[in-house]
Formats: sequence, structure tokens, C-alpha cells
Amino acid sequence: MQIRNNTILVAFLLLSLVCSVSFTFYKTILKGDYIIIKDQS
Amino acid sequence: MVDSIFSNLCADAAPSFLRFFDLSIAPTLLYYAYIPVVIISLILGLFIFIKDKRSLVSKLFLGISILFSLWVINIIVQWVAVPTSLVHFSWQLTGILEVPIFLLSVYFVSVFAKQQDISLKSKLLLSLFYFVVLFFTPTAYNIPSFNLADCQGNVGLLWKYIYALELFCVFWIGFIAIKSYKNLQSNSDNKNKIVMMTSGIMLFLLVFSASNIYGELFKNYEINLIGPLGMILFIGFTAYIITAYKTFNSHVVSGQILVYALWSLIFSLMFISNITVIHYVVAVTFLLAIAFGILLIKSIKREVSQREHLEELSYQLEKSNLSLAEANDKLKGLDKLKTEFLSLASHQLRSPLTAIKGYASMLSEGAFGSLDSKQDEAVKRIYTSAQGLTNIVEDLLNVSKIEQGGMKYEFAPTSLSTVVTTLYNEMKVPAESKSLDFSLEMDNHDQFIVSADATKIKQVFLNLVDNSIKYTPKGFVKISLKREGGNIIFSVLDNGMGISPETKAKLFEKFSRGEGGKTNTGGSGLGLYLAQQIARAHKGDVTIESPGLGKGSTFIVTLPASGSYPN
Repeated sequence: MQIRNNTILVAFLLLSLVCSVSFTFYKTILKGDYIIIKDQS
Repeated sequence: MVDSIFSNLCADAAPSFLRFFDLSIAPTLLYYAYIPVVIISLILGLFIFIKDKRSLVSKLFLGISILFSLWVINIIVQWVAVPTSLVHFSWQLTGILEVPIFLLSVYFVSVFAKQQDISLKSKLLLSLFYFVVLFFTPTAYNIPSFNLADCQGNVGLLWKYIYALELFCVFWIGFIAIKSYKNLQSNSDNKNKIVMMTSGIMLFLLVFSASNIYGELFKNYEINLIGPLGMILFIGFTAYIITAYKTFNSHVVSGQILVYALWSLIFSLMFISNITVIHYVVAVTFLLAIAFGILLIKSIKREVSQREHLEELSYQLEKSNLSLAEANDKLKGLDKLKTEFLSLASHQLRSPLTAIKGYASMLSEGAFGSLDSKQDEAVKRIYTSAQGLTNIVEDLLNVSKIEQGGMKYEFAPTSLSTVVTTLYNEMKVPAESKSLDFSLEMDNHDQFIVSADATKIKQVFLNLVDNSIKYTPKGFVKISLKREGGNIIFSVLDNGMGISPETKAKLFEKFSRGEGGKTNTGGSGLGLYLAQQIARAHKGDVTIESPGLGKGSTFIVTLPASGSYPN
């Protein structure tokens, strides 16, 4: 039971990690969706 | 995609390596500081993991080492990447790599201190902390904007949460350590290890987050060049504690760790292109090499002197073993002489005793004329005392026979019910003369047949019943004979003076006397020893049960009911 719970938890975290990294990659690299500022101060 | 990546470039760089990186824009010392850190961290993680693949501590340490290496690689990318999108992506991933280092450290310290896995609730809590980071990483709360002027990201609200969480983790680790330190009372070795391990990990995490927070507050990221070098020392320190804790050979391990560190430092010298700094870097490497070298030489010297000491000890041990063997042979010879003497002396004693008993008996029966009552009483006393002496001589003779291996048994199918009934009738008189309630409990339909030497087994039973009657001033003595599984159990239960646990342990030794021995001086202290030896020769045993002094006792003889005849 304990091992099954651990597996589910790790699987869930890995899935969240993959989603988070993929979404960040999509937003930043593919779409370039971020603000660029040219602050010299 | 490529267009979007190159839509903005950091001002001072030109993409030269794979079109994405400019390896020359990094500070000169970046590779020298970071590459050994990645290599050492990975080597140590794998090293500990390979030593003990199953241990959770090893797995967690490997996890922390891998995450730390990835974090350092990510920082290198931030320094050398040219397109803002790539630098920005790398900045955004920092939290994802940084937070689990802290959370896994909490898990690691917990497992290390308590020597067991944490509860599912704690795991869920740790996962929840991380999930918040994962959830907000792609959002504008992470790194909302990017400053093209210094090619740095500007951190958002998520980073306040991350810094708070990091500090919280450091305190959490301290709390776990103090709690387990208090719980461990006696084992000071483990206490030291927990103190060393937690202070190492806490310093590592504090240096880690402090250098990040400092860089963030003062926009001075050069400090990150020193941070990881300090941190790698703590990783090495932690690895050393784990190995010492797991009782791997710590000297060899520390030697290996030092050599790996030296290799990586020399390897990273190759990445320094600026000739002006090379003198300083070589000087630092040289100083480190001297320090490591001294440590290594010391460790080898200690190892050698320990081995010499061990050799000396083993030589002395061999010598004392030899003299012990000689002494043992002498003792065996003396013991044999003693037994022979005992046997001879007993034989010599038996003949005059038989004469004394014979003449006393004849005198008492009036063979030499009638005696008045005073004379008759004196003669009867002579007879009883001679009988007592005969019993002791008999016991001594039996002991010497057993020790010489000369005790002869004539095994034959024997009815224990007959033996016990005869014994009961014989002992009735002495028991009733002391007004004891003397009883026998036995199934009359069972013959209780065993393979035994009837005379010797009767002697065992008689000895036990005689003891019980002797040491029970008033109350009862109860004999019982019953079957239990494949065994026949003869027991004598009384409410006499009982036996203390200390005496019980010694009662079957030669010449050992129970508490009753102080009041009854007639015994030889050999009766129980003989009883046990005889019972064991019958593949049985004699045991004693007693709740304590003054609470009575039970003597139990167990004999196998059926089976082979002992030879």
C-alpha cells in the first residue's frame, strides 16, 4: 500500500514537472511571451 | 522558432558555439569554479549510491547531488547563452531545480536521523510545497520581465515564496536534528554524527540560499562563483559522514574523495583561456594540492601505523594462544589425576564403611548379645551416619565415573509407574515423620514405559523427592507422573523454601548447594548434578521451576516415552 502511494505521488510530481517545463518552454522559446526592458540604471 | 529565439540577443555577446552560446562572455573563473563542482557532486552522489544501492539515504543523497549539478549547469547556461529567450527560459527553470534541493535535504536529514522513512503525510506536505513552484513556474509570477541591459531576469512574487520556503527548510532541518538528538540518549557516536551531518547540511543550504538572495538583492551575481565551491566542501563532508556512518572504510573513502577533487580541479584548468589569471589559478590549485597531499599522506601514515599495531597485536595473540594451549593441556592432565584419585579414594572408603554398617546392623539385631536402649540408640546412629557417608561416597564415585566416561547404563523397557509407586511407598515414612502432606498423582491405567536403566532412574527420582522432603519444613510434597506429547514428565512439587534465580542458575553445577545447604549439611552438593547427567544420558533432562525464595519449587524430569534406545 505504502509503495503504491509512493509511486502515485512520484508519478504525479513527474507529470506536473513535465507539464510545467513544457509549458514554460512553449511560452518562452516558441512564443517569446515575456516583457523585454532596456533599463540602463 | 529560430527567428523567435534570435529576435533579441544580449548586447555584449555574439553567438559562436552552436549559434546559441558565447563561451567567452562568462567570467574567467566560471568554468574553473563550476565544472569541478558538477563533476565532484556527481561522482560523490554515484559513489555513495554504488556503496549501498538499497539504502534510502544513498538514494536521497544521489538525488540531491544530481539536482545540485543540474542547478549549476543551468547557471552556466545563464552566463553563456546569448538569445534572451534561452537565458529567460533558463532563469525560469532555476526555481524548479533549486526548491527540491531544499525539500530533499529535509527528507534526507529526517531519514538519516530517525533511520526510517518519513510518513506519507510528510511526503504529501513536501510535494505540495514543490507543486506550488511547478504550478507558478510558467506564469508571470516567476520571471515576468527580462532586462536586456545586463542580460538578467527580474524576479516576481514566486521568488518571495521560494526564499521563504528555503529558510523554512533550513529551520525545519534544525528542528528535526534537535528532536532526534534529544531522543538519542545513550549512543553518543550517533549523536555526533547527527550534529555533524545537520550542521553540514544547514551550512550548505544557508550558503546556497544566502548567495542567491544576496545576488538577487544587490544584482551582484559574481558571488555565485564562490558559493558553489564552498558548497561542494559540504557535499564532500556529508558524503564522508554517510560513509563513516555506514561503516565503509572511511580512510580509503576520504582518500578517494580528495583524489577525485584534485583531478577535477586540474581538469578544469584546461578551461581557463585568460593568461593573466592562470598564475593565480595555478597558485590556488597548488595550495589545494598541498593541503590535499598532506591530508592524504597523514591518512596513509595512520593506516600504516594502525596495520603495524594490528600485526604486533596478532603476534602477541598468537603467543598467548600457544601458552594458553599449554596451560590447558596441563590442566586437563591435573583434572584426570584428580578424577583418578577420587575414584581410588572412594573405593578405599567404601570397604571400611561396609564393615562399619554390617557390624552396626549385627549389633543392633543382637548378634553379639542384647543391648540396652541407650546402646541401641548409639549403634543406630552409627548405622545412619555410615549410611549417609556411603551415599556421599557413592555420589563421588558416580561423578568420577561420569567424568571418566565409565558410567555404565543397562537400558531396558522400564515401567515408570512401578518405579514411582515403589519410591512413593519408600518415602512415605520420612515424609509423614515430618507431618508433610505427601501425595502421588498418576494415571493408573498407564504403565509409562520408557527405555531406561531402572536403578539409575530411580536414583534420580529418589534424589529429587528426598530433596523436596528435606527442604520442606511443613506443608506438602506432591509427586506426579504424566504424558505430554512424546515425553513422560515426572515432577515433584513442594511449598518448601524455594530457590532464588541466582541459585537456580548454579544448582546443577558440581558441589553446588541451594539455600537449604546452609541448614542441612548432610548433602554432597552432587545430587542434582548427577540427576541431570543421568537424565541426559537417557536423552531427557532435569529442570527446576521456582517463583522465588520461600515460595516452593518444582523439579521436573523429562524422558522420551518411545524411540531409540540410547547406547
